[in-house]
Amino acid sequence: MGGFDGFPEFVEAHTGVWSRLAYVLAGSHAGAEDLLQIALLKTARRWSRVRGYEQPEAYVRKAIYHAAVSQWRRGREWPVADVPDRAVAGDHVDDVDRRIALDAALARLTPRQRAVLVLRYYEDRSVADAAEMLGVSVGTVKSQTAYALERLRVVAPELVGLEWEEAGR
Amino acid sequence: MTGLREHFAETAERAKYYDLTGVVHTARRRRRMRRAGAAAAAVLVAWVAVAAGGFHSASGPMVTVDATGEPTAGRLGWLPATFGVPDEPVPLPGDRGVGEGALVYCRDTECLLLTSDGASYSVPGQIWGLSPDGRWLIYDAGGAMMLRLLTGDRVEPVTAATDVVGWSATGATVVVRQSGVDGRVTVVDPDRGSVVTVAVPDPGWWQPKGLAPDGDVMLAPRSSFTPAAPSTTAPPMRSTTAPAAATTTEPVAAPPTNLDFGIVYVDPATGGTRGHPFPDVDEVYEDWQPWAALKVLARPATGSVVFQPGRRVTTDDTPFYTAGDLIEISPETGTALRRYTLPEPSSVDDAAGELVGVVPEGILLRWPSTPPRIEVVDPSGARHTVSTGPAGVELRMVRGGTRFS
Repeated sequence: MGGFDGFPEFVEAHTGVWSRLAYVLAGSHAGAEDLLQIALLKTARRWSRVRGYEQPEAYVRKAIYHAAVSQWRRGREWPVADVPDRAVAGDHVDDVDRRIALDAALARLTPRQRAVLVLRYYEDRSVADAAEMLGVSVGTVKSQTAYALERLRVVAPELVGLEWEEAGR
Repeated sequence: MTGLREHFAETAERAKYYDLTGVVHTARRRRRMRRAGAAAAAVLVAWVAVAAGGFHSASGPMVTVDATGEPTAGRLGWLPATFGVPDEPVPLPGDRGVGEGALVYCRDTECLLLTSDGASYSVPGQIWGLSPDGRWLIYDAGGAMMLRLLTGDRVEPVTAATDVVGWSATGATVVVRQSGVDGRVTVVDPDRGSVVTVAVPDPGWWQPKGLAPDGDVMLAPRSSFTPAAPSTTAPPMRSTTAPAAATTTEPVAAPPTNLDFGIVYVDPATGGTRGHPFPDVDEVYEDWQPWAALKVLARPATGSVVFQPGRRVTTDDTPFYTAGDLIEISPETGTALRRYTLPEPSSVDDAAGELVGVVPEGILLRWPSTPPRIEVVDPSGARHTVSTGPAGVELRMVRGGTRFS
């Protein structure tokens, strides 16, 4: 049995959901592609072990987050987020303006702050789950969430009307 | 749209279905290389055996330079050896010069410019770059990118730019790009007042990194390992057709379909390209890790290209990724010239030296430790601490740095 048996099929089966997560995390297609590639290369190197896990896709998901946060560890950031330059069908002008403003504001967060928000508000994870995923303390997740939301308010005061769901779980 | 949850959900719908076949191929190739055993092991043994000497890899001689020793004190004439953070920083004045800048540091959400004479000034917006000669600062003013002469009161807007890609090796020529526009960059020389648009050939594969000493725009692979190709067949590296007639009609270099790193140069005046066979980084760095935002710098005197892959470190059975050794390659042949081995972090909380600049004296590293410091690695591998900041601040960039450095 080859060392990569099942890996291409595994990647094919989950690329859609990983692509969406990576794009939300990176905010740009180039960044998302890089995140996925880094995470999957790590996974491939340990595939003989990972494929025996109960949920191997969870390993990749964690690797995607760690790849994103490692950008923060190195003091780097992803390229400037892709910002839609025109409305899509069904958009109202206010919604488009607000989306662009929020994209721009999110792009100014550190990757770790953004990762915390994605875990809490995109994946709807609890504080404890988010802490486990990022390998940090519960307190760090709470403080980073609060700091990130506050920073969004500072860099994008025009979004004052936006609802910030302060999840407290 | 009412909140973050809805915004993220809408964002997710804009994701593409990224082609990841390249990752599978890369993983297979690397596995084959590891299993090749004898050849790879021979290279590894050679590295260990010639710590202070050279060896001949498939792509030519490379010298391994030991830079793991303790740093000694050193000085760069333009960089204050120490500095403190003022309790109430003075805003950067708009009506007079403040002298040449040395570095940019940040405390909490506030970033300050440190000048060569040791004064600190707060800058109202995001700081995007500090020129290699210390004379120009690029910052965000209400959403507009501005070039500010620090030795005078000139302020020049940089139009149609959202990101600073890199600088010239010396002087103050800067390469900027616009978000969402991958096919071209703009080269701005504020001293001469020139603005030149340069086409980036095959932008799905290549991304701009800065300028070589001769003024050519340097491109590196968009991903630092085999990318998921924008098409199923790797396109040849063609000479560009814009902004002027190309000087080269033959393919210069193929994208790194089976290699990890390479540089292609684009002549801003003609749009012509040149490149070289690339060193297979796996051959000169057995456990290098890709960096999504790899920094690539050209040394001022020689034009040799310095970059820093990542490294994987395992402590307490927990792997983590951090800055790795420095690699220097020849601009003439593309072969690896030197590998500077740097101290390996002992834990996930331990700092690693990060490439932030190149100067005639050597390679500049940032150590985000406590206290944070800037070091020069000289050609012998000796490290010299040339500036130490107060605890609690982040040394964001030195001369020649950009927002992402």
